[in-house]
Amino acid sequence: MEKGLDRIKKILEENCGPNINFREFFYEFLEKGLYEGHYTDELKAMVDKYAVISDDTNEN
Amino acid sequence: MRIKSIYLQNYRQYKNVTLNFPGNEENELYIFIGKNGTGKTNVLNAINWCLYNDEPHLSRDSEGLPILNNLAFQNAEENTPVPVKVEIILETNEGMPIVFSREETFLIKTNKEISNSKKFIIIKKDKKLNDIFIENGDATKKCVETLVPKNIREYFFFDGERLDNYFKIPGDVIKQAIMDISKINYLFRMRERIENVARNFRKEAGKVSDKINTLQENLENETEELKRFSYQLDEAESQYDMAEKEIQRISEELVRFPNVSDLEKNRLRLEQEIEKNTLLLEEKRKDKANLLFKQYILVNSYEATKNTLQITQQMREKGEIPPFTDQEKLVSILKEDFCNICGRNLDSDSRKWIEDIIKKIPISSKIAIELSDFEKPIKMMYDDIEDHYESISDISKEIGYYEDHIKDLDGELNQIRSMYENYDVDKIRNLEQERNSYIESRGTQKERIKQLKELISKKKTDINSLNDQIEKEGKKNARAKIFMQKVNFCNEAENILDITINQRLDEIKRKIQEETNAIFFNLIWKKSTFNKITIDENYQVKITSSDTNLPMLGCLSKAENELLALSFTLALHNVSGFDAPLLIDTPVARVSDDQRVNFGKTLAQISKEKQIFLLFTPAEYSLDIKAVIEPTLTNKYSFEMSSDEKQTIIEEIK
Repeated sequence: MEKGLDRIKKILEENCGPNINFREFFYEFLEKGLYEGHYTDELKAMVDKYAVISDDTNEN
Repeated sequence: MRIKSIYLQNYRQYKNVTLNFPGNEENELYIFIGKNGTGKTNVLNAINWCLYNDEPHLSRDSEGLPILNNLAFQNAEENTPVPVKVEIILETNEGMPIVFSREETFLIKTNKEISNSKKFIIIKKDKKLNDIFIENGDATKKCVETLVPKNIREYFFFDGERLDNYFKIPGDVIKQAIMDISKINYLFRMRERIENVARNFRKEAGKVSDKINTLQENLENETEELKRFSYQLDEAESQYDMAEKEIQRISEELVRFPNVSDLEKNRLRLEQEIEKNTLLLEEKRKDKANLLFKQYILVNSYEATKNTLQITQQMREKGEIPPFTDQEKLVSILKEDFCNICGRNLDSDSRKWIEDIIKKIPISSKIAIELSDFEKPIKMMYDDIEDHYESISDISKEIGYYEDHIKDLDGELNQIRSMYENYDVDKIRNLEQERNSYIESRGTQKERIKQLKELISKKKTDINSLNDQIEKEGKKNARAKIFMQKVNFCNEAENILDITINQRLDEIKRKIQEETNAIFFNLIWKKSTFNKITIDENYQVKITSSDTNLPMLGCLSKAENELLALSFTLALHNVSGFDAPLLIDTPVARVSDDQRVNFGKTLAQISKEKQIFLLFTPAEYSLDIKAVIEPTLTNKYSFEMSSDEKQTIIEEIK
């Protein structure tokens, strides 16, 4: 079984279900290491990007 | 992760030593052998000093000595800095070396060493050993905490002689370390960041709608309150956990002693009962004496009364009493030769007839009448005496009962007294009082936890309601709607993170429990003694007996305790992804002879999965241990003092 971050990514992916936007949001979050430091602007930009896509996807 | 090398410069017994651990594809088992005082344990101290700036395993002899090597101190020139340095090179599983280097320089002034400067750096290198990143200052601490957290160093730097403390590490410390090692803390930080961003978006939405602004402010307040309650809940759970652990510790300690409270109660009861029964006994003895005194005369005339009654009864049976005629009357008729009953003189036949009658009468009629008259009162007197004897007999029986009962009670009391003689009663009493106070504290915290959970639940409902209201308001306002989409996205992301955190925590706990059981029952030599090992929410380890299913952590032998600690450690390493080497000082010091070989086999087996260092004295490294360990050995090092006893010489034994 995966350990550390790999396992977390796997569970996160499962919990995101079919919503690919959340999956990609978390993937990018972890890849960019945004859990370190503050990076509010960068995170805001990511939410801007995925929330809108997500909403569009939902409306579609 | 493995230790690639350790370099010691002017550190305690070590003038200039490098220990290289070359590695081995099949297993990695290194042994340090040296007599006590040669400095084996100071390798463990050197690692701790390098990583955490402390030396928790110093012997009493070393405690008063300076960290600066004695020879270096003597050879140093005045005012010239002399370094003490420990450098550890760790290698990650990806083969990337990380150098931890701590150095403290000393100036020698008037024959004293004075600390001059301190430096701790961490250098991350690439595979070609080029420096790629250097950490210094506060960042080093964080780096150490990520790789080898100080709080749980007991889980990778064992001291075989200190394993009693192993299971006393608070559960929240273990939990925190697990969250660090398994990176769950990243999820907490992610959640926190997303929460901050969501707050920003809500504020943006509030700027375009007063209603949203007000709701947003309420939400902020409610969220703050929720945090406060959550913090209080953590505190209460931690207190509860601590109380629980202390109760378990004291209970395990008290198992070896009698229950003093119960004994005390019993002793008091027995003393009171003896006192009460002694009083009753005295009363009965007094009653008996009174009875004997009062009936003294009666009792003394018992035999005479009994005989008289017997004689009277026999005479009655013979018809002697009452008298059928008056003897004196017949004698008077004979004397007067005239019968005044029939009024005529006696002839010879009549005289003879009367004389025959007189002969047939054995006692005088007077006596016979008197005897007849006395019979009734004598009988009454006899009955009285009989009754009296019955009363005396009853009282004597009661006295006997009380005497026996008091004897039994005395026996029980003596048993309790002899139990007390074998134990330190004050210590037991204190332990019981301590346990009672923890039981009370646990009860208080349990109630507090319940209240806080209710408050938190209510607060969450209020927060959800406010979020719904904000969402509704957001839909009414086209400009706010865009921000609210983002807020909703953040809320959903937080939700996913919460579920993931809980799932991963549950998974780790369950896996650690499974693996601890698997490892322990694979390695333990007494397979049927134990039932199972359980690990609760707060990482409290419990092992139960096969026979009684009761906890028996306090009853394990030293070897079993050490094996349980090892099993838990390995499970912790495996499951959480914490892959650190294990360094065990005096691994079989507290293990009895018959279990040493089993333990040696266990360690050899573990070395196939993990780098292991074992520190032995020559006596501990006995032939039987050697026989099971040597086949899997990677390298062996001997520790010996130099001839001038100023430094330790380490040599690799081929």
